[in-house]
Amino acid sequence: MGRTLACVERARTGDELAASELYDLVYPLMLRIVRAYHPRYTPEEDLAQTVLMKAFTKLHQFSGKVPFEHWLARVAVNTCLKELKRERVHPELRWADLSEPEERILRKLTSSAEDLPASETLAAHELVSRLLGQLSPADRLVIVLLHLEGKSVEEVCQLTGWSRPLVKVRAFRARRRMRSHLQQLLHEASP
Amino acid sequence: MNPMDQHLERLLEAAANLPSLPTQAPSVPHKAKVLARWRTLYTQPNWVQWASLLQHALGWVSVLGLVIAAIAVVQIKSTVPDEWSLAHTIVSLPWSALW
Repeated sequence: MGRTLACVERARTGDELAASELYDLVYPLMLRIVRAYHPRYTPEEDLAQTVLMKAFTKLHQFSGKVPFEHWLARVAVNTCLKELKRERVHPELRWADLSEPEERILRKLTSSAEDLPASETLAAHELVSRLLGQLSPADRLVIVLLHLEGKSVEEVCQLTGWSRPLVKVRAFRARRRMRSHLQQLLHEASP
Repeated sequence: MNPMDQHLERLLEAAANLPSLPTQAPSVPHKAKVLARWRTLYTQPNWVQWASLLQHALGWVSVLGLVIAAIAVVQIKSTVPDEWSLAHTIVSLPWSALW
């Protein structure tokens, strides 16, 4: 963290080597964030570039009150949210759109109360991504942060700038919508 | 918790357990674009250095001009016998001495 901060300070004074080093240091973090939220139609590398472009042109706005990584995460989250808002098309999710592993996951969910096996995590993740695609950008973001990344409500507030009640209400509504889509899929599976 | 909530909870838990993908190295063109943008904002462009050089050069040329003018005045004073011939001497001076 100290190395990152030193690079930020030097990059702000025009040190090119420091800027290059800073890019390499923060790129993995950036890619991780972007992978979690990136819109379906924007390649993750392009989005990572957009985020880093914003961050590097706003380096003078970093006050140092929070760790640089937190500041960067907030820039990334806001950029991803804006990109997601551009995606206006939410094609309806139908049983016929699901892949075989995704269908298997849904059947296992209803047939057994046990946790899903570790071998099915990829299919579960893809199915969740499909369900998230049906939600609004804000709803999608709150589910990813709270449930997939395991962040606390407090951390979500810091990252998004939303108030605590807003985060809770959004999470509640987003879960309700996801549940409704899931119910519809299961209904189609067992007519 | 109703069954549908439980299904969703289990599904989200399973999805959260997906190990993160390995991070590939940053793409060179992308990095170059970001750094080029950063450069325009945080480093001095070339023309600023040239402007500074030109400013110094102008300063030195002005000093040199003043010195030449002072020498010319001294020469005029030492060679001109009376004030009436001053104008005549100035006119007859080669112009290069003034510069």
